[in-house]
Amino acid sequence: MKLKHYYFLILIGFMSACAHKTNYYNFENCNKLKLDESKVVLKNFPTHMEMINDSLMAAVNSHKNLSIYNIYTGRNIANLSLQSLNFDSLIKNTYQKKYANEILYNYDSLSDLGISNSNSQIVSFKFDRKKLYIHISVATNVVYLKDSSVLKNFIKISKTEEIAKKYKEMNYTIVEQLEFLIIATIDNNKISSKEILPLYLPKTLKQQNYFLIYYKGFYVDSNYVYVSICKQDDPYETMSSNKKSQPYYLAKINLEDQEKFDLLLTNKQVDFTDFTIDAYYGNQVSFEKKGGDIFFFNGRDVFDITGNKKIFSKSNLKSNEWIGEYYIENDSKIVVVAYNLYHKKKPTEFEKHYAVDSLGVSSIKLFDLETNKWILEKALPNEISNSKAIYNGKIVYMSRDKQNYYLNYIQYNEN
Amino acid sequence: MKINAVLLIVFIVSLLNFSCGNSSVVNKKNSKLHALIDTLNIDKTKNIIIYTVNPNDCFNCLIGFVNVNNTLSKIQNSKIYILAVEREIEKQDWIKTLKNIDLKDSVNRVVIWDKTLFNTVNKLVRKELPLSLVIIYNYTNDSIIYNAPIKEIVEVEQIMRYLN
Repeated sequence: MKLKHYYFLILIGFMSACAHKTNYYNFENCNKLKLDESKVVLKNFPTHMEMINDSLMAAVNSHKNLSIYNIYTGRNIANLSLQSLNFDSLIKNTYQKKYANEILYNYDSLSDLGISNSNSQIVSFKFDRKKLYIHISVATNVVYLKDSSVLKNFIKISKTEEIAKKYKEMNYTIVEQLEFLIIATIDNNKISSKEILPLYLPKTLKQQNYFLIYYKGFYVDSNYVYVSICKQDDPYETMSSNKKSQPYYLAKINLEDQEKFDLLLTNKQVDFTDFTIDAYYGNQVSFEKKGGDIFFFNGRDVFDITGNKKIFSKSNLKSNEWIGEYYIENDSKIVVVAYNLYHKKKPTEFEKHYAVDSLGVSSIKLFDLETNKWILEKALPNEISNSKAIYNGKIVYMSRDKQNYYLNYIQYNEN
Repeated sequence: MKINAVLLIVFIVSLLNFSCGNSSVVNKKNSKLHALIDTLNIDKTKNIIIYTVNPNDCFNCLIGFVNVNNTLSKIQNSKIYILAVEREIEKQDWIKTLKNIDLKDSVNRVVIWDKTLFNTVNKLVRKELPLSLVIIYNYTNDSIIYNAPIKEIVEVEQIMRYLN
């Protein structure tokens, strides 16, 4: 009997020595801090949040301000708004020059304002290598001087044919959102705008019926911008309809000559076949550069564009599970904010139409890329910001009550 | 994220030939609205225009709202504006920045800042999204006779037929 015990102990020791080294992690809730609203009053949760460094977080508030907060004090240290920009001169010097004989741009700072007196908005941003790349859009009236098919197509799309017949004489105004990229830095608690670039749609891409969707996320690397693309399809029935397949999903555009581009990402590399229209347009994509490689993430898969390999597959997710944010840590782990969608049993037509027939329950999860296994999960509370920022051991999000907004963060530690 | 999708719907609509449903005409009893209007000093003999306004609605929706509001401002029917704003600090900030909508009460015109009421009224017409809506309500019959999200209104004239 004693000999058997020895064998058993030796066997356990041997197995332990051979087993993959397992690190243990735990999540730790940190105190929530009241957010400083002395300069910018929040009217909703930020639409996009990203960490600048270990203590600073940037957020887009109501599409009006890009605000920077200290996550340890809640203090608002800097803001960028678009109020001081002269869009009239900017458009004349960019879009109007490029399309001089084709399109007339009539920017009017007093028209198309909506209720909040603004026809420009901050859509999203990306912080990378000490620079802020801020995507903005500006509503502008346009007249197509040569191509009458644009107006005809507009009438068809907007279903105004019948109205046009009824009134016979109508004045049409086409309003387009012109897109720009602000390149800025954060110096001495101030966001300083260094350069503003127009973001054109290359002619060849337009001819191939693609359009660019910067609001989903973008990435600037040297003189190139990576952006999601979509091929113009026939009309979809509802937002829950399946997105039709397209040959490519990403464009890499040369910012010095925006007519030059490459098309990247096929369905074989990153599978979009199970995306609904809502999922395709509603889910952010994100990019990270690590060790010279650029990683692309579409809500389900993480793909190394430079190395042409998938590093995280949606096969590790449940069929109703999506990822909102992710962060690659030490090339060996991915931290994600995942959410499960539970469809209502009896959705109304309205809910189906607008793809709001499901509820999301989110959690923070840690995935080990070496063992290809989930190693930790923590449920997140409801009623917190959709956007979260993950950086270097922290997940930052916002919460609110009837009086205040709060900055919260959760730390994950290796034991 | 999912919520972002909601904010971008109008953008997608214009890009994708997305087929929006037409505004619906309903005729149902709604004593909650009746009770609300009982508390207001407005003319109840004509159909009442109720705007539920989400100041955080999509960019194009808010442009659409201003256009609809400007066109219907000439109509003499009573108007109620219910804004989805909860905190006093937000209300004061909106008053400073909302330039294209008159936020003062006047004769037959009432502005209510109440997010809970906004949600209640939107749910009455089964629009559980925080969409800005136009509702035409008949007080005598306690009936909602027209409602549509601002983003789905193609022709303001279609609303006119329920007024006067």
